[in-house]
Amino acid sequence: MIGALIALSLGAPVVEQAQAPSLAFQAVRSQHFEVHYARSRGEDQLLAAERVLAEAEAAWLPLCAEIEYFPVERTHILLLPDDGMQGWTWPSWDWIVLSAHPGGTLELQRGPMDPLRLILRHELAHLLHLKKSKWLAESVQSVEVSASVWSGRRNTRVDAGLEFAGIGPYWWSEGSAEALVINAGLGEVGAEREATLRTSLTEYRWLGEEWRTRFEKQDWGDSERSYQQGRAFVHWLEATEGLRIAELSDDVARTGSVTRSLRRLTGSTQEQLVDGFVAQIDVAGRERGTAGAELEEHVKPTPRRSDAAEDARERTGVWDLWPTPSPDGRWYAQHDRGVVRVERREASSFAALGGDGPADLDRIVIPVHYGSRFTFVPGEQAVVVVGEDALTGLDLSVRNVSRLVRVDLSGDETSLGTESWGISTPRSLRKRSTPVPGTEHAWDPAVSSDGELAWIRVSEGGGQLMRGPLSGPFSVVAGESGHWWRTPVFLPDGRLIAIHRVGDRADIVEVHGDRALTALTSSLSQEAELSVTPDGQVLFTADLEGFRDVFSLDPDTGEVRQLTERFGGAHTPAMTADGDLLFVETTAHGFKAMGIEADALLDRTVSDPFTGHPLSTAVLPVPDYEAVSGRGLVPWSITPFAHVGMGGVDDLDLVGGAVVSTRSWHDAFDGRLTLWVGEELGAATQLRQRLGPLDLRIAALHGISERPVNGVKLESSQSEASVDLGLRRGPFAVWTGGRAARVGFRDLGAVGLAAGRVSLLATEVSRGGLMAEGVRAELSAEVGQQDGNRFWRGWFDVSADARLPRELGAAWRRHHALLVGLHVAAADPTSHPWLRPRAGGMGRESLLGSVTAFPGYPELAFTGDALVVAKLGYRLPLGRWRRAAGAWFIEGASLEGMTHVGQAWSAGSVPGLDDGITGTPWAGDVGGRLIVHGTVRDSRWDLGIRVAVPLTGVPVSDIDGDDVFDVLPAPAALRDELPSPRFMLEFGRL
Amino acid sequence: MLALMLVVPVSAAAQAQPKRSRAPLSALEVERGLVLPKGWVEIEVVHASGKVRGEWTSTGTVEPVDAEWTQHRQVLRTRFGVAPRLEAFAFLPIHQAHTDGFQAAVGDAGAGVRWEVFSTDLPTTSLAIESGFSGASGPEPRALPGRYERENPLTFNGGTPSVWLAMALRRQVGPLVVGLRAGRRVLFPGVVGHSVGEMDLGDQWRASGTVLLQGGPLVLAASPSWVFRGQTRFRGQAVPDSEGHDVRLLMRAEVHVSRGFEVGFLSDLHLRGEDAMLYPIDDGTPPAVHRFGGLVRVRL
Repeated sequence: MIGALIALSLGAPVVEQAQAPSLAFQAVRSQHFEVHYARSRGEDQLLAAERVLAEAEAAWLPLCAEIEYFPVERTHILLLPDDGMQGWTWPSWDWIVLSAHPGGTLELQRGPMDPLRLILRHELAHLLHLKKSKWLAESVQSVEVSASVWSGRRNTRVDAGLEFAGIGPYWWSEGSAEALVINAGLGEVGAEREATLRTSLTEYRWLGEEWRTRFEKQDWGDSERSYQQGRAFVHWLEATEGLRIAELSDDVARTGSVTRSLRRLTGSTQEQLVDGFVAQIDVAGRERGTAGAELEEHVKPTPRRSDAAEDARERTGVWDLWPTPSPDGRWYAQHDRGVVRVERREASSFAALGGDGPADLDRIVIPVHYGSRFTFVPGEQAVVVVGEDALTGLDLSVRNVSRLVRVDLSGDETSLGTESWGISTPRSLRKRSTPVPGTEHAWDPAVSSDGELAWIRVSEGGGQLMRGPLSGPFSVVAGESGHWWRTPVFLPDGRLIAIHRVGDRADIVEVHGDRALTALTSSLSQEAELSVTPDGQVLFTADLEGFRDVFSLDPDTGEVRQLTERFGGAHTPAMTADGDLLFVETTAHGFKAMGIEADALLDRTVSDPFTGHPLSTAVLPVPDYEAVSGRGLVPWSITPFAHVGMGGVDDLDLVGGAVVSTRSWHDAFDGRLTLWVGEELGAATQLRQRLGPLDLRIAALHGISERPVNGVKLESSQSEASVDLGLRRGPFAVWTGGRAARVGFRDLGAVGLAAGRVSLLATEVSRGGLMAEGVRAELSAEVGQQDGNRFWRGWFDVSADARLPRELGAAWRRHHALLVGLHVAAADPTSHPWLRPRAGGMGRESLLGSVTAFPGYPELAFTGDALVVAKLGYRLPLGRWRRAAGAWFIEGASLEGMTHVGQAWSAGSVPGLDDGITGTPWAGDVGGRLIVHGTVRDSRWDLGIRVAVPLTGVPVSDIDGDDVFDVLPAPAALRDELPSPRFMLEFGRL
Repeated sequence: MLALMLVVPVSAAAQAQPKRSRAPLSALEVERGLVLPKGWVEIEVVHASGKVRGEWTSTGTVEPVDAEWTQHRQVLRTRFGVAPRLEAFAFLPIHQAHTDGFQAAVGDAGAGVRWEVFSTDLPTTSLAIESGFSGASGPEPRALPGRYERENPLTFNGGTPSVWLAMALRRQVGPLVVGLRAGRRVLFPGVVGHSVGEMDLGDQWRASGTVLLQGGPLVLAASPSWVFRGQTRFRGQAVPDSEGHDVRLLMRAEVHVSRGFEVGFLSDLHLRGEDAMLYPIDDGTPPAVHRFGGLVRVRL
């Protein structure tokens, strides 16, 4: 029943649940947009939705005109109440997801402008560009073609599958979105984009999709370098070839290939054009004064001698942020990719800045919100950070709710915390952590010398400046919709200053107790990133001449002095008691913490460019809108598929069909319908509805087929329906449900099942240097009835891949790994054989229950009233190399050795089958899998060949091994079949 | 009436109505190509019934059957414009027969793709290649030749999978469309439910033509078709005199209410049939029957 298996394999939800389960949504609708917001999060979400409508409507016409595409359908925007930056789009659904949040390093890489505006414009450009250039019909997500060949006589099967989808090179998707926004007059390149591009070009190489996938460059900063090179390439194409994105999009929609369209329109291949782009690179700005030898050392390319050297170069990326000394000079801290490392230092030493420091230094590593700022508490051994709920031990299922946490630094421990991204924080660190009450959705904390705390509450499509005692409560001192506040700091005399930002303008203001503002700067230079020096000067950064540099401001006199002139620009400044400056600089490999001693600072007077432009307070007007329920469904998506199967005796399967799916705009519902015709005919539907914290899943399937088995054509039919209700809590889920089936072969007849299941699913769990991924544990118990006969059954499954050393992301393919699994199952001895625990083959999902993998044996071959199957394997990296062929390239290979051992128990023969199945007391196999890792454009693929040799025979009840309906007693000639190797060719995307 | 239709300016390009990035689809049938434009979905339901006159003999004559036998067939057909110049389609026939009882079954369902390799606009020219497969999805009851009774199930579907490759040309001439189509269908040998042992009904050559005339919303079409089927092979042995020719004339009268909704009547005249030396198989070697019915077509 290939069609049924296809239906099951496609059965996973389209999008995993992205929301906290209890959120209730509402929508507001304007002429071109419908914005869905979390009504239950509070009224400020409506204000945020209004801001999104204002920004979206203002951007619609310029972007549509630039790309020359005016969609008639309304665009839906899901505004996530998420204290982390979110921004992505699914063009065929007319769907943008974003959060009204400043984001970790967004403004350091794109410039300090309204983050909501910046993200929205980028995603809207994506949506319009990708809709216009889509070659496949807009509703087609992909086309899947698969084939299999099998031999029932030798239990051998080969499968291969391909998925075709519209994939374009990285510069095409991301670079075009960036360029469209700029070309439409909705943004400018700015100092930050220029710095990213300038430093990335110092190595005179193209950072395209091949670079990203080969070196697994998944970091935000890595992506940003590709974005900006892509944007520069698009602008270069416009300048040298006269080729606009709108024109190229038109052609891509016809040809389905960016590279082919490039060749058609320019006469050159993409490779030739990229070479031309790289050859003309002239890195401007090298003359900037303080760069010198240190800079050259910093950005110079490592000679490429081998893949290992290339790898080494790629691993040099650092993402230092906010290098900060404590006021008393005893501590030094900096942010590094989601943690704040606080180290004890008796004296400042800049030589080691940016490195890990000596191992024997006292160190506390605190998991924090990615990219967030922190502050020392003056006069105390404590730091205030922006924590996530994982740190405070609160609800894990609600992602990215940030709040301030005070962490005590006193004590004798020499090292605390972990730099791993596990699912929890060590208890020793939690003991030192005290959440600051009333600081939900916090950002940018600052503490004054007399113990006052100021911070930014992200809300209302902007930010509110909050102030109060360190232990609360807090009051709003400034903030209204559309106004953003950043990096508040206290002057030594207790005055509060902060960055005030409206749209593209950012200025430094003093906030008085009565909410009155006094502008300390009022310029077009986008001031940002405040800190205060020990002598009361205000440090800030600004884009004065196309480079972001550090300046100092005397808050009393208004005098401004320029302190740096860096090739990569300068961010997040801080000053020590000795007057030395700490900051981070954009480099070819990330942000690196740097130091300049006091007497080496530029210290140049700036003649009044920071005043003269009145403080901007005008925000975009909110367009007319109406409130709607927002309960609609996204446009239907279609995935056509075709399968050709050949094997056995006189057996040819031809099946074609399509999966049609939809979902609600904010993920409360998703549903899919699978239809297939050909040798088999059937339909299956799967529906999921979120009911508060509960997940309700309903599935139904009906199919008929006639397929030859052992020279006889058998009719089979099946009807199945199931209802499951689940409660999720973090990685855990508890499920209960029932299943009814009518299966038209032999005597199985009608089956009804009631099931309860507890499962744990965790993608990554780390302890120490060990990383376990794909951790899965499930305990299930069922009672049922089959044609009047009651039965019970149950099973327990646990499996994991553990690797050493711990690595993040897709890097697992480089490492040794231990693969373990255990399956224990038992069932009523009087039940029908097809309802009992079964193992064999690759462990495909059976319609009536889980089937355990036992690769050395035919599908479903190993059975009993009770059985245990244990898996033990080891993955050995064989090497990494690069063999390219057009858009394909091979990255390397690894070898997995594995063994399965099983024990089965049976009380007696099986009623209903003349020959009976008595079970096998012991079975085992040994085998391996050779995996070749490859990439097609920017999608990773693995091609694997698996061989498993059974160590003992089992009674063969399933000759074809392909189908739960092929339940015929084996011919005598095959009954005593010798163990034979089984081969499996696998092809799949990671 | 004919004169009235001829003065309707059908050669003017109909205004395109793009929606959700769909490619333009002309409102006029005569201006459409062989491939459904990207993004469009077409669903068509056809029903046809007829009283069986008898079984075809190997010489092309009709041998009457001694039974009241009415054959019905519905076909659900879907087309989807997957990409520019590329269409996917699927079809599902359902059969019923009234003798002294009533029988029903699913026929040979299938799917395929059609690729437009050449086209011109106004007058429209469209050249396409089509490939697809079909297979027996439903039960194949065993039949006994010559007995059409409640106790003797009729056979509706072919029982083995097939694939085909065809080429089609369509050309607009003012309010007229002239179409030609030719192809080869290969039937795979295999075990079938209505016989004992491996069966092969024989590969086919197929050809057909179409003349279509449009006057405003009214469309008239006539399509003669010809099929030559090779010899039946049973357990690997060729069955003598089992090859033959099948000739039909399909005529349609449709009202195109809108771009997205069309209804019509049809007649399917079975002028000559073939005898596979077995028994009538409605999706393979059907009995002699003229069918009449209607169709509904929806485009989304």
